[in-house]
Amino acid sequence: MTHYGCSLLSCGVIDERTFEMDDYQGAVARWCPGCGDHSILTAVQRLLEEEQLKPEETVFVSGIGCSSRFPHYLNTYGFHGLHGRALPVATGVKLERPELNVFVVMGDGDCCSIGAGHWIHATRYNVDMVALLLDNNMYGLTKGQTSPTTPLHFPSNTQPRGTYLEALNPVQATLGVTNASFVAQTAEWIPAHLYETLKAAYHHKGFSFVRILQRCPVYTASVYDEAVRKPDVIEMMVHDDGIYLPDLDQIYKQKIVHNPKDIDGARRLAEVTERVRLGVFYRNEALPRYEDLRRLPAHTAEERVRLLSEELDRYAV
Amino acid sequence: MPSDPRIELALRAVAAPIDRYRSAVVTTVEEVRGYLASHRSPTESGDGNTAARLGAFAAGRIDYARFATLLTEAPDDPERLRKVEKAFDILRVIAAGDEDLFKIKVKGGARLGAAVAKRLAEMGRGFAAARVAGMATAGSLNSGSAEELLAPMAFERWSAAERRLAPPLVVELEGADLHAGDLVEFMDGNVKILLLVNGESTPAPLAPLITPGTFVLQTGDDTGLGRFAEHEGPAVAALVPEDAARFIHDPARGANLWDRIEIYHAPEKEPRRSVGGRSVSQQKQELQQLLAMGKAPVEAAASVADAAPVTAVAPSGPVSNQVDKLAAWLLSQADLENIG
Amino acid sequence: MATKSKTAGKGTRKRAKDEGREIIRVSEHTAEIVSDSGEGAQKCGQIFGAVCAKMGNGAWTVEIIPAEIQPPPRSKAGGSGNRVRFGTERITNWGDATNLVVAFNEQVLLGRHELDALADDAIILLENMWATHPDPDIQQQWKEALEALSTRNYRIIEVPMEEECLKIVEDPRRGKNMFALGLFAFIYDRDLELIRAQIAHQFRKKSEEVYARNVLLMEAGYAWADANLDFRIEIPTVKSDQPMVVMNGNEAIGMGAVAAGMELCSMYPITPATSASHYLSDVFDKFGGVVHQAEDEIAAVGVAIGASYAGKVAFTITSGPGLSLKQEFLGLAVMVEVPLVVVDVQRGGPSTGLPTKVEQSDLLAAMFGQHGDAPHVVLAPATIEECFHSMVTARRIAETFRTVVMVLTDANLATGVQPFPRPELDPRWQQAPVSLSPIPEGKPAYDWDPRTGLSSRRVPGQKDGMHTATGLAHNEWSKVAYDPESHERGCRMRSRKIAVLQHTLRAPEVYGEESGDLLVVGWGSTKGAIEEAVDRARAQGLSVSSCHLTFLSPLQPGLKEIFRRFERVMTVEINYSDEPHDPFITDENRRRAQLCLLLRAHTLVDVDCWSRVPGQPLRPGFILNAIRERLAMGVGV
Ligand SMILES: Cc1ncc(C[n+]2csc(CCOP(=O)(O)OP(=O)(O)O)c2C)c(N)n1
Repeated sequence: MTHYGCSLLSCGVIDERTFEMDDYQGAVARWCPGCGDHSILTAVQRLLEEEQLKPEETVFVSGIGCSSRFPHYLNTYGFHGLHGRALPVATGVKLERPELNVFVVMGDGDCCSIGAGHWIHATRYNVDMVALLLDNNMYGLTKGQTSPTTPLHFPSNTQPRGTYLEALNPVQATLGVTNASFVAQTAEWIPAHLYETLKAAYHHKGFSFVRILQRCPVYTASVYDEAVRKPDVIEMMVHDDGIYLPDLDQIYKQKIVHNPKDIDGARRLAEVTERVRLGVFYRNEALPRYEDLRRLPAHTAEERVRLLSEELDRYAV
Repeated sequence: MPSDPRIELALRAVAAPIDRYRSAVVTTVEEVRGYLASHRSPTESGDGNTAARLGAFAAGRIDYARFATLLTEAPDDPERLRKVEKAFDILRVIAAGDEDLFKIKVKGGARLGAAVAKRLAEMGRGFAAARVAGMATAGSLNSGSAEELLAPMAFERWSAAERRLAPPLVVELEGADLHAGDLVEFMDGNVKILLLVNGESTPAPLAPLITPGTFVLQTGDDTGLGRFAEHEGPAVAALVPEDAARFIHDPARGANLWDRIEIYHAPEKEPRRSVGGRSVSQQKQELQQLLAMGKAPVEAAASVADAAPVTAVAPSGPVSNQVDKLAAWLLSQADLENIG
Repeated sequence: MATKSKTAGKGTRKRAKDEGREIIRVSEHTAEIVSDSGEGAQKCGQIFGAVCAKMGNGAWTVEIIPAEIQPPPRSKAGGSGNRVRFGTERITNWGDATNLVVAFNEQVLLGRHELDALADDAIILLENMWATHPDPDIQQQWKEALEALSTRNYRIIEVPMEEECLKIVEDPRRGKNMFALGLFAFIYDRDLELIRAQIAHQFRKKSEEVYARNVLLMEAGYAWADANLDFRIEIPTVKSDQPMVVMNGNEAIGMGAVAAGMELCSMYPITPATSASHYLSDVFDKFGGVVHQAEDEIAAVGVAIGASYAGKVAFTITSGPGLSLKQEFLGLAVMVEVPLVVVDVQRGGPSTGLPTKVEQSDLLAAMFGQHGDAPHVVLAPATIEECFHSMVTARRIAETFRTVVMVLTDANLATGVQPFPRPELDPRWQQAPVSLSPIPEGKPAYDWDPRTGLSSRRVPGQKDGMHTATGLAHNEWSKVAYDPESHERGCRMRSRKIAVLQHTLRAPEVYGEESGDLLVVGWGSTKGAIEEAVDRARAQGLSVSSCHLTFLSPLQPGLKEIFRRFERVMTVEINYSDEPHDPFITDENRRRAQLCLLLRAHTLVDVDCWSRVPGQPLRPGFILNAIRERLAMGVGV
């Protein structure tokens, strides 16, 4: 019953709590030192605090992978499920409990390989949630196998002489899906940009897909090396309607004004170049959201029994 | 059934907010039903209850007595249970209530504010009942007698969450009785008030309610009513007579007043008579203010800044959730007849 | 539109006109209609079956499904239709052979003949347009077919269906089925008002004109039979004193889901489960329920698990191949203790197998298909009525035990139509599963009762209840824990719940004498056929009883005790087993039927099995033969 009905039982309780960063802190994160996931966790905690999201009304759903350990490190509700299958679970949660804040955390193997089908369809359902792709270009947890986003010729344990295929471009792929409503890219080593992107994604009503470029010090240390060391490799897509952080102008001099309403521009910008583009590619709140389309009024048990009795009448002998 | 087509139009406009409100009540009813089912004393629940809950497929296959030992939670104190049952009844009456629950008619010369306050307080009894049930499920309802908990609850005592789930109201009234100031205190949470104005009205009676977070609409037909219903935040609309102004103030349309206001009909005739104690010049001023608000300063148009939509102002009204304060209400027997 | 047909009396009996007509009085009869697919024979049979039930006959309707997906017209493998067994008493299964058949061409009839579906003295009403068809090949085929059919004692009556229908419609392919319905109506003296009402029900989404035309055609069939047939068949009807309803098993599952307070059916289309979701898609909205058609079966179960984790009542419905895809998620649901109901409408397997046909071969996959140890509950309704009620019980068990409950039905139940007592609905079935009350301090996410393994449910929104549900081994706080004690404890707690459920179950009843030479054990849709076979065997003086299991995991208590009272125990199932005397088959290497395997392990009794995979329900007559054979062989002692 994806009805509007949230319970009134705790509505009358005046909630005077305010939450600090620490209130969102779960178990101590066990990622490798230098892993980009740490900074993503910090940015997410900052977002939770800034938005004062109630821990009990916030759900982090993940798959399996290093990155999918994410929910354990937060003091919210979490669902750490199956490899590749975070999105269907999250869809079920949000479809039935639209009042909850739902976040999904996936690795690149999780989202773009084994869960690719769900990724496409979740984009199309456009259920209001934030989906984070923590893209380290490699399978981390299982110790270094090629992922769909591994750069061409980059070696792994399953393709030691380098990958054979060009990497899949998650941003481009998402932008190609009907009803995609929010697509952004950011990098975990630029915390201010990461934070702003998460914030924009959270405020977007619909399925917000954020690809976060994430360093893995063990298996893909060199992949983002250049982008980290040479800010000029990065091109900031700026716009009042997207993300613009004047403070970063000093470091990131390459800028391009891109209106996130412009889908054609977004698709062009998503094409692979020697530039790494960060910012909001596309945003459209006017697109239909599945949970809204399927929403129905609730009925009491008596009403349902009465209706079912009428239904049985149709089959009466 | 309402025969007045304007009432039909109005009820259609608030159908979605009614559904939302009613759904929340219904969800609560079902939760409370579950609580009662599992907290009645074993003699009351017993095998029969287990059998009923397991359905006919279990007959002859499941030993109800044994199964029951797995189901029953600690039975609640009968005194507390009685209160929850009463709360349950109130919620059920509201859940079963028809459109009349959401409709009021202000008698000529009566105060709009008082009428709205009264109805909201009556509806507030649902929230009060939910509080009682909520305390019971949370284990914080004490056993002292506190019947007044289930009495009508004035809007000023509603919590922020309750205000967000406020039921919409359709209010029929004479233009002369439309004093926007009466509504200010209710413009909070997700309150939706739709006025059906009969007789003469001033040209822009709702203009004084324009604030950054409030959706304000004057219309002659269904224009804007969809946005009114969908707006997240307080909203007021009026179906006004022919010669009044028609405009929308939609907070979602931007940070600047002139971006948010769309005036699509300004009265051709100047006001000529006083209406409801408002003089001709006061009426002119009211209209001037509206027109001024809708105009963009020339240089402002070039701005690209487009901030996030302004959200509703934080609610006021300190309501203590302390058990003893709430307990102070439980004085009188819940009077279900007053609802609807 | 031509309206030449005479109207047959409005439901009035015209006994006077039956003078000189032979009246065949029987207590039951099996009638069927076969045609090429697309000629509407199914609809005709469905209406006829429903009318029989409504008039107060016991009835069981089975679909006749073509053996090929796109069979050419007039082919033996292409027969499509419906078979209605009905009688004065309750009918519990599809029976043995057909007594009366209406066939639209001689080839589909021949197909039925070759399948041995027709009784030796069957009455056949056969469209005769083919005898004089302009195509000489067809004429030849007709001749050959009639010759082949003449080897039996069939009574063949040629009926000019095409010719008669052409008087009313231009394209008799649309409407011959209603003409056939009229034939049945006359022969079995059915209430025409009821038939008209049923036609209206079937075509309720179509226009008034379609309805009127169909009624005319039906009446034309009636009139033709009245004018040309010299017999009628009388099967006394007994109006039940109880209100009854009639529906198929998938409708019963759908309606049962509503009755059980389900809020979400998350599915991916697959035969023969789909029609349950079609039914629900039609009505679920009204109840505030949603049918979510996911992108695949994995997502379907994932969405259901998400919804259930969030505190709602959700189920997923599928068939064999879909069950395979869901397995990983089902193990997760067991591991994180999220309640979930899974309906598996079994079909023939492995692989795509027999998509439209019945089999009971998913039992082991349902029980053990998840990797690791994933104890959960498996139920099998045996009748259409039980399809309805099992959903209520399944939901309650799933929630009480925080586990997965699988409901195994099959294609036979899914498409079979049977009247049953109208369920007495209870709002308590619908009860919301959770409240969002805060969690007291110090209460772990899994507050396992160390004796029972039961723990209280917890859902997002509950203050101070934050935790991360995880498919990794975890302790009671839902913290990942790889230490031996935590994992063993988790496994123990999840397993214990199943033992506790078993403890609340009663021993199954024995049908027939409490002891004897042979006990036949079955599960699921075979119940009616097995019990009928047992009745017949007992009538022949054989000492046979049966026992039907509805709980397969956990198994009901007392089985060993019951088995000991019989010389031999044998399961009867619709899944593959090696025949004891087949080449290479020894007692040691014999692969036994699925329930048989379970029972042997469970009871250490040398349980034998007789199983077949014909893609059809088992016939009571065949089961009877197997009983006699096994008693004679003395196998399995
Ligand atoms: C069905 C299934 N197949 C394979 C695995 C093994 N597995 C676990 S995580 C993983 C890939 C992890 O890579 P990624 O999703 O990129 O996340 P990361 O660890 O890099 O954060 C694989 C293949 C599994 N857990 N389940």
